[in-house]
Amino acid sequence: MPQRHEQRKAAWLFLFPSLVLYALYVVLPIFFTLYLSTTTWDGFSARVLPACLEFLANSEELGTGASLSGGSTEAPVSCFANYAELWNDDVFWVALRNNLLWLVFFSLSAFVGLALALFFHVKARAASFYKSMFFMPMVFSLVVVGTIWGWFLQPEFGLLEFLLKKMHILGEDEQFGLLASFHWATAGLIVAAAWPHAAYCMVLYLAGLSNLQRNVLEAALIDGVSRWQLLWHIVLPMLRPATIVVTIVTMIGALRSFDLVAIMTGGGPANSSNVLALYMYQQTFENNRYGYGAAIATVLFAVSLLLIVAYLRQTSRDQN
Amino acid sequence: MMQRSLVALASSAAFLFLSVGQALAAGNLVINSMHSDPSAKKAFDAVLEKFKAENKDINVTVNVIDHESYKIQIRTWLPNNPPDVATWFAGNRAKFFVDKKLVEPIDDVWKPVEADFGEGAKKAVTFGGKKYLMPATYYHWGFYYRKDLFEKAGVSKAPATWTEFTDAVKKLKASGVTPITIGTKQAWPSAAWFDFLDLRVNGYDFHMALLAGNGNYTDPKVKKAMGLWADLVKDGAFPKNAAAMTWQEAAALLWQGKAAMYLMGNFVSTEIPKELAGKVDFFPFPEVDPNVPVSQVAPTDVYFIPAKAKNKANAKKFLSFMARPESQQLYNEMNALLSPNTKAKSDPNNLFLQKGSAILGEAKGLSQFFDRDAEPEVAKVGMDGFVEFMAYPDRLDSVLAKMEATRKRVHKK
Repeated sequence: MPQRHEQRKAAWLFLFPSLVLYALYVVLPIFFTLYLSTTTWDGFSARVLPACLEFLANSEELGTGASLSGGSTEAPVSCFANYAELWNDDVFWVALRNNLLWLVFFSLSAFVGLALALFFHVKARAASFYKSMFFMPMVFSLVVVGTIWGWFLQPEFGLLEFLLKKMHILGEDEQFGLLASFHWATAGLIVAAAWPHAAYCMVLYLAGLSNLQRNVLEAALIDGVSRWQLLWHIVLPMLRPATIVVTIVTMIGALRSFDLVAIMTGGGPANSSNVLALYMYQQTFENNRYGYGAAIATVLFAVSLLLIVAYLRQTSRDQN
Repeated sequence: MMQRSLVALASSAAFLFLSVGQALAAGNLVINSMHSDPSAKKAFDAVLEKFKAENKDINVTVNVIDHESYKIQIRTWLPNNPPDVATWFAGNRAKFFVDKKLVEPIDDVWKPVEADFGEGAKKAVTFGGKKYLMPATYYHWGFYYRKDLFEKAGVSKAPATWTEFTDAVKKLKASGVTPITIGTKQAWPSAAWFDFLDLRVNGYDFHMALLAGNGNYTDPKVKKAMGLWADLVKDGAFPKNAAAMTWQEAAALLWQGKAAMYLMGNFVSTEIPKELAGKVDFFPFPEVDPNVPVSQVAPTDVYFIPAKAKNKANAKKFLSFMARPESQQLYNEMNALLSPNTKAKSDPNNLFLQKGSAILGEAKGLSQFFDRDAEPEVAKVGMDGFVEFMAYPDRLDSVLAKMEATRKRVHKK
């Protein structure tokens, strides 16, 4: 018993440094962001008070610091003014809608990844070569992926444009302006994002596949099940752990999409392909509205937390 | 405890003595600059060498901070511990600091050189009757066009009035090229159209008041200016997929001969391919209403003295030095930019600088560009709005209403 106690102490001791870092760099910022979202901080003024308490600062201090922040001496405002503004902000709703579109259509890349994994899980000589070909986009940084797809989809000089014209799918005077479209730009972004992500899912599933219990598969084949039955009733259930990981990385990937959007469209045209993470960045660092940006971050955080907790609870319930 | 405070006392006394000694012997000058790209830095060093040679007793320190960080940091150091000279933008961006009494008026520096500068440049540095800034460099905006394509379409001369302009657009369209190229993947190139049309239709004072937050974006006058733009959009004067192109990609259409003209800043002239030499020319944004005095868009970089600067006498010496035609010429020649001092010469072989220098010198007012004149938030909503408007010109009212709502929230009136 005392030994067990000692072990536990040692475990905490070893965990301590990373826990401190985790608290400092992950937990604390979450609460600080929550706090910031109640303020109208511009990122410069020394004193940061929630919007509803700002009148306290204005009554006692009229120094340059306060005046630079543009602190107003109006009647007290609600601490949730940022959220009220979000509610009436069209761009916020467009961004949220786009995030949900990402969530739905980006997950399709998980199926592609699964299909690729099943396809390549064979012992053929060329398989590893093709595997690495498909894995390639995963190695690129998303900035590179975005740039490549941006060129590919470019409406005047793009490769896709050229190919469509050569194949006479597109007339000489027509243009395939996917990224210029107010309705379809997000589709272009998701396709680009799915390219490396399918490769990532493929690798995760390949790892899962190599852990399958051969004897179960062989027994099933001897019992004469069809290939589809084998896949549906035996392989997929055995891939469950991989599927859980794939689902979570896909959800997170869809919700935090930022880099590709920033590079390929910048959220445009006119915010029609904006997503929460990018909109948060623009409000915070381009418009100097740290409080408003924090409110967007809080909403994004809540959405992610809700979805992921719901999913994890569901899976753990299924396992029991 | 005792010992430690003694040490502190001794060292601060030594520091005080040293700094006083230095001040007596030399006199300091601290300059904060945001011009961090290599060519600008090199040019600034060359000018600074001359200043140092003339003022051997002044001990000059230069802090070069990259452009984006500078814009953020200035708000913390300017009220608290400013340098003696700082670089900044003319117009409303500077007015923000002038209104907070953070900038020293420099009418005495201006007095001897006033005749050297154009009306527009002087307006951009004057607030409430006093001059606060010394313009060091600017560049012009206008149309860069393909002479060969204009001729082929039957347009014999560069359009000077709006009727001539729309006529040229029609002829160019009929000849099978896109009349005007633009790329709004980054939204800012669209804002030049708003700037120029509002300046030409409603005049400099109206435009500047509007952008400073003292006007109404839903004003029928604004709508009238935007209406001219809407007509062009509806006539198919711009590329269909402008929203997916960067400003460089849009320029490529001009170089390839797929488009005939481009409303851009003079930096585009350094990108003209060699094989097009002589085929690309410049004309200023045409006149719309002959009763409105002609002003131009000319983003201007300035020097100013912070109100709390420690060595104002030296700072004024430096500003007087920078106002001279030789200093401006030396600096701007190395950067292919124009000198606000009209006595400074620009490269006689550079057609674009010659034409630009002429129109800016004559201008009755110089605006700084939409996203420098308006508050960042209003500018962002506005530029996104212009992109939307260029795709759906019928949404003009909702675009202007959005801008107005943002202006009201930001300016609280």
